[in-house]
Amino acid sequence: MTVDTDLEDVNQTTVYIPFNASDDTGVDTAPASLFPERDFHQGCHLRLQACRAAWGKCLERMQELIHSLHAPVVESVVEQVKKCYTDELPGLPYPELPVISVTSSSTSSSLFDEISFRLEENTDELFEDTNDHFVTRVFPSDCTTLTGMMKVIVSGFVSRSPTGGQDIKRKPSTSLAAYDIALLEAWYRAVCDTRDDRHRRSRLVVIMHDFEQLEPQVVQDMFEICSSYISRVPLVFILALASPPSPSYIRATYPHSLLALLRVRDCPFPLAQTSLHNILLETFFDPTFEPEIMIGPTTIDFAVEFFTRHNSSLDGLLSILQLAHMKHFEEPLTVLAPAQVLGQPKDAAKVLLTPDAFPFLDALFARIHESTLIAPVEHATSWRSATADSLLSLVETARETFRMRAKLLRVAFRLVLHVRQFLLVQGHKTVQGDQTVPDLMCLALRGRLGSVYGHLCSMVRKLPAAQLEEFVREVHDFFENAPEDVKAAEDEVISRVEIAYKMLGRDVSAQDISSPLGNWLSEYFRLRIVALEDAPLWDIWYTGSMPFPSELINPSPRASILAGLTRPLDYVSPGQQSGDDEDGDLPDISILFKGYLESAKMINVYDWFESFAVFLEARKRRVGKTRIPDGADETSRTPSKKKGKQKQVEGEVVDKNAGEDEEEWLMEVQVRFIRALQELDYLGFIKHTGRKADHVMRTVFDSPE
Amino acid sequence: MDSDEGSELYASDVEHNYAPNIFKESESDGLIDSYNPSFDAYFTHASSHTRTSTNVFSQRVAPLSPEEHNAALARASVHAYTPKVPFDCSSFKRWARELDEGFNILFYGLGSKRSILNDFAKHVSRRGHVAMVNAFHPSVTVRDMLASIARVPGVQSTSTSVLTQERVAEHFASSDSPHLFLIVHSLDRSPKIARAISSLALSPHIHIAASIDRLNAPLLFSASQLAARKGSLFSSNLPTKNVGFSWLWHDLTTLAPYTAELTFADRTSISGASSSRARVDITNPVSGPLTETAAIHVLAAVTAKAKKLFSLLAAKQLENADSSDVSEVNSAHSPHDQQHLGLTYDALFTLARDAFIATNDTALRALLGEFRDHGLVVSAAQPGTSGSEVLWIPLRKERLLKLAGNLDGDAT
Repeated sequence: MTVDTDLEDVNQTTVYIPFNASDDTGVDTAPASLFPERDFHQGCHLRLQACRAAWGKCLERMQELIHSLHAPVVESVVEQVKKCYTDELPGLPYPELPVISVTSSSTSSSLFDEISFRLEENTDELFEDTNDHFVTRVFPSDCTTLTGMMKVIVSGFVSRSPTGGQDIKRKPSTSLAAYDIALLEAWYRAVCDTRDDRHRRSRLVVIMHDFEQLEPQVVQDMFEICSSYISRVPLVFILALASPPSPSYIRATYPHSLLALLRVRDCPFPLAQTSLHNILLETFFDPTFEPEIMIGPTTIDFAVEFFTRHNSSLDGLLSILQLAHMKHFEEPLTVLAPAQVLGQPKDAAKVLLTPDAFPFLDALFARIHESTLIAPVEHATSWRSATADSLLSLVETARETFRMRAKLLRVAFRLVLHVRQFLLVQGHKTVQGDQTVPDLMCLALRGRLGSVYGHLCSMVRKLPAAQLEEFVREVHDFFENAPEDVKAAEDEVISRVEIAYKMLGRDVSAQDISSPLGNWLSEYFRLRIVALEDAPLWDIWYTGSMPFPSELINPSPRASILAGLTRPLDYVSPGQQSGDDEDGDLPDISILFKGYLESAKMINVYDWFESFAVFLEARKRRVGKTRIPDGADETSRTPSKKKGKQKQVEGEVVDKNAGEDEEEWLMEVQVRFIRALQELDYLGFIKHTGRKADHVMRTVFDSPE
Repeated sequence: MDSDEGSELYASDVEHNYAPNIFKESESDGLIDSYNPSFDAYFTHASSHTRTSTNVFSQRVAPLSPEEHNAALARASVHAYTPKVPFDCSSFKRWARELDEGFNILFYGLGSKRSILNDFAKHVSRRGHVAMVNAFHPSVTVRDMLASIARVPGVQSTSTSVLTQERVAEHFASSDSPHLFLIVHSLDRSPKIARAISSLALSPHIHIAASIDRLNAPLLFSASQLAARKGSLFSSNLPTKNVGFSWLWHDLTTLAPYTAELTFADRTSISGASSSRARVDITNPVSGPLTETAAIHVLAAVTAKAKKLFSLLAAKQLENADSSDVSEVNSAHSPHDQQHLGLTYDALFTLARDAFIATNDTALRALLGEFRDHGLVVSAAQPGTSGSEVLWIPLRKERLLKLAGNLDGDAT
C-alpha cells in the first residue's frame, strides 16, 4: 500500500490519508469492554449512548451555571466598552487609552467568546444601543516583537472589509505596511463613512489573552503608539489576566509613565473557590436538579484538589467530570442506568435474552440476589421464577429507590448547609469547623456527616429565643420550598417543624422548642444522610469511591521516562518483578543512563564511552561464556583499553581474525554509544555547554532509586 | 503564569516520583529519609568540584564513515537488546472514542511512538481524513501541515488563496464538515507546529493525536491552554477563537529506539541530535571522518608525484603498524592514536628525496599542502622533541592497506 510506505518515509514532512469510508464504518466503533466476562456486545453501544445523554444533561446544567456566573462580568465589560469614550473625566490634559482588565483565571476562556459576541452583535437600533463594535483577539505567541504585535492588531481589523462585502485585496506596493496603525485609521474612516456613523460610535476592541505572557517592553511600545492615535482610532483593550486583581500585575510591571496613558478599569470575577463550590453544589446537591449519575467523593476530592493546586479553571472541572462519566460507563451494569435505554420493557427482555447477553444476565442476576431487593425469605424460591422481565422490574425498583434516596440525601445535606450558614451568620464561629463545602459533600456521600450535624444540632438546642424564632422560620421555609415528592416523603420531620413553628406564637420557653427541635433534626439527618453505597445496585447510578483516572489529566511524563530508563523490564513484562538488573538484559540507552546517574554534574563523553564499552564487554564475555564454553576466547577477548598498560594477551593465541573482529566490535560499540547518547540528547537529558571539550552537562538530578 | 506553571509541574513531579508503581519499593521500605530530592542532588553536584579525565572524545575516537556506521549498526542490532513492550491494538478504539468525546490525545513515555501512531492513523482513516505530520523533521513547516490539510476535499475553496489556520478552523467548525484527524509525531520538536495546532485543536471536527518525547515537553503548554476544552459554553454556534489543546495524556512507553526521529541527526558528532545544531565545531576544519571514497577522490585529482608521496607515507605507516604490537594497533581507534605510527617530517623528507619525489623542502611542503587541506594527512608536534613534526594518515590499518593497494595497482 502506498499509504504505508508514505507513513514510514521519514523524509516526508506530512502525509495525507484520505477518508476511507468504504468498509465497515460505524459497525464496530465502540471500544471493547473492560469486563468482557460479564458484558454483551450491544451493551457497549448502549452504554456509550447512555454516557452521552447523562453527561449532556450534567454539562447543560453546569453550562447554565457558568453562564450565569459570566453574565454580570460580560455585562459590565460591554458597558465599560460602550461608555469608554463618552464618559471621560473632564479636564484631562490628554485622552487616556481605555483598558479593561478581566481576571479570568478561574473561569473558562469561553468568557471571551461571549464578550466578543456581545460586542459585535447588532442589538436594538431603536434605543441607540448599538453594539456593533469590532473585536480582534491577540495571543501571546504572535506578539514577540512590536512589529508582530502591531501587525496582528491592525490586520485583525483590516482583514474585514469596511463595507461588509467581499474581501479586498491590497496590493503591497500601494498599501501601507500591515503593521502601520495609519492603515487602521484609514480603514476605520472608511467604515464610519459606509455606516454613516457620524458620532463614530463603533469601538475597536482588542482582547489580549494571557496578558502576563506578553513581553512588557513590547506592550509598552504598543500602548504608546495606540495612545498617540486615540483621537482618530478609538481602541479599547481588554486584558485577560490570570493573576488576582490585587496586587495588580499591570501596576507592578509597567512604569508610571505608561500607566499615565491608560485608564484601567477592573472587572473582577467572583472568587474561584466559591464559584467552584457553588457549581458543584448546584449540580449535584440541588433538590430540583437530578443528575443521571451521582459523582462520588473520590471524584469530588480530585476535582477540588486539581482546581486548587494545579489549574483553577472551570473548563478543567468540566473535563474532569466528563472523564468521570466516561469511566463510570465502562461498567457493564451501567447499561441499565437510564430508564428504558433498552427500549420498552418487552424489547429490553428480548435484547437480554440473546445468547450474547447471557453472561451479563448472569452477573445481573447474581447482583440482584445479593442485594436487599429480594427479601431473604423469598431467596430460596424466587430464583426459580426469575425471568428477564422480573429482573428488569427489580432494577426499576432499585432505580426508584436510589433516586429517592439520593434526592432526600441532597435535601438533607442542603438543610445541613442551611443550618450551618444560619448559625455562622448568628455569630457561632465554632460551627465553621475546618471543612470546606466539598469536604462536607464527601462526608455526606460517605454517610459520615454525623459529627458535623451532631454539633449543629447541639447548637440548635442552645439557641436563645430571639434567634430561635428566625431559625424555625428558616427551616420551615426551607421545607416549604422543597419539591412536592420530597415533601411527601419527609412528612414526619415537616410536621414536627410545623409543630415548632406553631409553638413559637404561644407562650413557651425557648428551651422547650429548641431542645426537641434539635433532636428531631438530628434524627432526620441520621436517617437521611447515609452512604449511597447502601442502596441496592448503587453502582449503576453512583460512581462511589471508584478511583479517578487522574493520570489522564495530571500526568507525570518525567517520572514515566525515568522509569522507562531505569527499569525497562517492568514495562516489558508488567507485573513480574524483574530480578537484578546487572544480570538481565538492558537496552543501550539504559546502560548509558546508569552511567549518567552515577556521574557528577559534568560528564566527560570519553569516560562515559569507556564505561559503556566496559559494560558491553563484560556482558559480551558473559554471554560468550554461557553460549560457547570452548573456544570462546576468540570472540570474547577484551581489547585492552589502555594501551601498553594492561596487556592481557599473554597465553592467548593471536589469531589473524582477532584484529578484524575487535575492530568490528569496537565500531559496533561506538555506534551503539553514539546512538544511545543521541537518544538521551533527544529526550533532553543532556546540555551541550561547550565549556569543556567534549563534556556535557546533566539536566536531571533526580535519583529514582 | 509561567512561574505558576513551573511550580505546578514541579509539584506534580516531586509528588509523582513516589507515586508510580516503579518506585513503590523504596516507599514501602520506609526509606523516605534516604530519598534525595532532585534539588538537593543538584546542589550537591553543583557545590562539588567536578573531576573528569582530560580525554577528549572527538580526538580519541574517530567518527565512523557512513558505510562503517551502517555495517556496525547492522551488527549492533543483533547484539543490542531491544525490549518489546506488549501493545494491544484494541486501545485504538478507546482512543478514537476519547477523540470523539471532544478530547485530544497526547502520548508520552520513553521510546519511539511513531509506528503505533502510524497504525492509529490508518485506523482512524476509516472515520475521517487524516493528516500526519512528522514534526521531528528539521524542515517541517506550518505551511506543509496546512498544505496537507488542504488536500481534504472542500477545504480549499479557491486555488489561489493561501490556506490559513483560521480558515481551516472555520471550515471544520461547521456541523456538516468531515472529521479531520491530525497525527503529529514528536510535537515538542517543533514549537511552531504546536502553536499552529493550538488554534486548530478546539475545533469540534478536528481531532489531534500527538506524541511528545522530551522530558520537559509539558512546559510547552500554558495552564490556560491545557485547561481549554472543546465545545463552547456559549450558546451560539460561532466557532470559538480560543486556543488550547484539551489534552488527555496517555503513557505510551514503547522503549523502541528513536530510529526515525534521529534520522536527521549527525552520527559523527556527539551533539548531533541536539537542537542547537547550529554550533559548528570550528577547531576541526575537516568535518566528519576521512572516508575511503573521499581519499580516492582526492588522490585522483593530485599529481603523480603527490600520489607517490602518499603511497610512500602509507607504506611506511603500514610497516610501522606491522612492527608494533598487534593489540596496540587494534586499540588505535582514534586519529591521534595513530600518531605513533607516523613519520617525522625529516624522515619523510629524506625518503622523498631518495625516491626523487621532492628535492627540496618547499616542494615537499607544496605536495603535502594538498593532502593537509583535505585531511588526508595530519600532522602534530612530536611529543618529547622540540619542534619536530610527525605526519600520518588518519585511516584505519585495513583501509589504508586497501587504499595503498589501489594506488599501487593504478601505478603499475
